[in-house]
Amino acid sequence: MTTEVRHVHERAAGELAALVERTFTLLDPLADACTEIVSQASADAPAPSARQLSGVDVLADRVMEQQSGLIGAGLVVAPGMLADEQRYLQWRQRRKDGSFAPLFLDVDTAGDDPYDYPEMEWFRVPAQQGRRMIGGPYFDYMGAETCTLTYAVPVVVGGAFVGIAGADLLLSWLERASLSVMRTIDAPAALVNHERRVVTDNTPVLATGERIDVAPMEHAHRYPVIEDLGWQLVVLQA
Amino acid sequence: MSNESALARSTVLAPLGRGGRAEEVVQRISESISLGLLVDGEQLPSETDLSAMLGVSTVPLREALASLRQQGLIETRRGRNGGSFVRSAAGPTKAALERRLAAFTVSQLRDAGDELTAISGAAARLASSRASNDSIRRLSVLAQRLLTANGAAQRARTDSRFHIEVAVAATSERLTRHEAALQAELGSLLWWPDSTDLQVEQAVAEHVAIAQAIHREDAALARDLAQQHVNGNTQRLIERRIRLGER
Repeated sequence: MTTEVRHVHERAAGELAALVERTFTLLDPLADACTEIVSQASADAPAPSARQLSGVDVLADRVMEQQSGLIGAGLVVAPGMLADEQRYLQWRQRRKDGSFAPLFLDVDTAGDDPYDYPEMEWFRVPAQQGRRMIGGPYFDYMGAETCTLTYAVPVVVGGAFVGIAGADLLLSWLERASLSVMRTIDAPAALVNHERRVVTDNTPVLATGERIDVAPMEHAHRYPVIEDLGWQLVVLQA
Repeated sequence: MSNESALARSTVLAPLGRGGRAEEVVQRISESISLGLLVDGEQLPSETDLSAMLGVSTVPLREALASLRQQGLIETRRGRNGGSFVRSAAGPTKAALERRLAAFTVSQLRDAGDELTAISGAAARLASSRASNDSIRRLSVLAQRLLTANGAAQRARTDSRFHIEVAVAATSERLTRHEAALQAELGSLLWWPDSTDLQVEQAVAEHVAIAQAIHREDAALARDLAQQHVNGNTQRLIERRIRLGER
């Protein structure tokens, strides 16, 4: 591979990184607000109530206003964190008419099909490892009901994990936004997540969500995109 | 919605007296469910509409919905097509299921079964190369969940949920929608008040085998097992339909 070609790949990886990172920066105000609520509550009461979180709705809407591909945003609380609810989401969604609305879902573990968020990787990884995460690409059957990436940053107060600030990004939005970058690569290429699953690509032979096997990965040119998440740009041998 | 149902709903959801409070909303809706005015699976109006209909503000309404959720009388599904849905514990009677099954002819059941075979087989095949680690974990949990489901309605929901998750694991929006629609139509006919524990064990064994084939990334086996499973279910439905005779 020539230096020129390598340069094209590296630049594409850099542009993809900027695109993916942008959504994370939008989450800062949500995470800060969560930190503040939990810190204040601990001064006079042992734990905040669910109602105290409702003030972040306006911030969640603002997150979605800043990126048209975002269809959900809010807080997802660590089980046992609140005084009045064992599990809780303070989540807003973009409706089909463009307006924002609260999202309610069955998180009650007594039901036969609860929305079992502590088991989902976008919650589990921040909770257990204290690091940010993007879940997916996945078809969010119980939630957004479309192919989605769920961004999540851990909120930690006084050393304790209290929940995540997060947002749902439409995969179709990322696909469109990344197509011009992906097209600069003159070989089959894919942005893959930590499981080697395709997020977006430039070739008909790969599909969203498809796992690239270990062998072709080893023969591919690989460029880090988001290092802490294990996301890479993979350029396969043409 | 039928006119009858619309009428029932307008009565059920007529404004409460002055100062409508959470407890009154809970009482009104839970009574309506126990009287059968709101039926299993029926979607409640949006929070905004409910609030206007019942004449209560959002805060007590949200409290009421949370309480109804806790009592298991409604479930709230996330998402654009989400909302609050009535969940009646009673489940369908044998007579109600027979009426629904009799609405199909044998050849219509076979045709629907063929469609489900195509969708479920394709979903299982694609899931083998696309399932995330999260999906694989979830599939293995859902495969077994039928063992602890109680009654025909919960068994049917749990069974359907496994098959929908296979399509979810395939990361396919269209296959998932299709699978969910077919499960709503046919899945609810698979489990009856007289279904046996042996049938549950057999279904669970088949679910587990499908989940394992997906986990091992064996696309052809996953597809074949999913198709055999659907064929077996369709045959059971057809046998039952034939026993019902000329209705």
